[in-house]
Amino acid sequence: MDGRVSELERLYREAGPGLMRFISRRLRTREDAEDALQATFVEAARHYERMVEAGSPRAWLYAVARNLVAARQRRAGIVRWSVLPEDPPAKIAVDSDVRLDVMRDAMGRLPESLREILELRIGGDLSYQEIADALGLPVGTVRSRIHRAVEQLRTRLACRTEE
Amino acid sequence: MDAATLRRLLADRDGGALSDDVMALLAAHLKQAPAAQSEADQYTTMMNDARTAMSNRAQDDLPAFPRAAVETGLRSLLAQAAVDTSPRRAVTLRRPGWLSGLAAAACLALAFLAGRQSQSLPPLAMTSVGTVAIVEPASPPRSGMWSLDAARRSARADVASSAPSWKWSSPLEWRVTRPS
Repeated sequence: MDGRVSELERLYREAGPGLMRFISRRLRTREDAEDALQATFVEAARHYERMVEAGSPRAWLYAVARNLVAARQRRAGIVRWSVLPEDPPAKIAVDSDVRLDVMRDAMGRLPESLREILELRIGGDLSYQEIADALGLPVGTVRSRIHRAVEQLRTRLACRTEE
Repeated sequence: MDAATLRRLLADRDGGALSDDVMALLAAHLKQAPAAQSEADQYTTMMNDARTAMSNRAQDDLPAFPRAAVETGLRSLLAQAAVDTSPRRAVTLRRPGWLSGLAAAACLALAFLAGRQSQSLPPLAMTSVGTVAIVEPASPPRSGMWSLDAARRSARADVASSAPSWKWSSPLEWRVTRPS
């Protein structure tokens, strides 16, 4: 059992930050997000074999987190998606703050289906196959949505830069 | 290669969706074409910005790994697995199937024997019942029977006479009047 705990702890360190970001954007409070993150790993412990048998444990964790968040949102009667974080990392230089604000705004305007996939791709660093596994979509759909998201993002950024 | 196609290829490369030969071709193209390399740099900057925009110090501070809850979950999983694979559990699970199989076999055997038994019975005796004669009424029904007055008159006449002049005969009565 110790080996499994160590493996889960390693996954927690590796995928935890991305999962925390993914969850935090969907739940109201940090406490809720922490709770959901921990519940995700408890589920992983309870269904360890299933997670290992899945192609990618990270994708499996994202799928579980997504379901847990959806259940909590239903219970709380909220549908909240992605207020992108207000406080950027302190090490970001001031001149790039404007660029990041523009980026946040552009991402905030993406349709939900595209934003979620882009977040899994960039924030979670999941491959197309892992995103497809996590969301239960064909890889081709994931690919086309990523392309659309990138193009829309680029167009919005270009518009904002021209302004 | 136009810029949109290049961006698609770059996105696919990052998403691990390009085969090795296509990746090699893309790398060669980026080396040879400065415009493509510039486009790739822009794409990389945009993706890095998006990654940075998504990150948040507050969100990146992970809570402690829930070791106790995870261990409890693993223990319950292992306990369930132990129950599922124990010989006693296996017997308990198999027993009903065993019994129902036996019961089904017994039912089939009984049905088979009953079928054999019914084949050995003599055929049912068929007898002719003769010709049935339908007795016609002595007189036809009175006309105007749907008139209320006529019906009353007919009823009074029936009450007055000891035997009805006409009555319906039923199939039961046909047997009584069967000619000998």
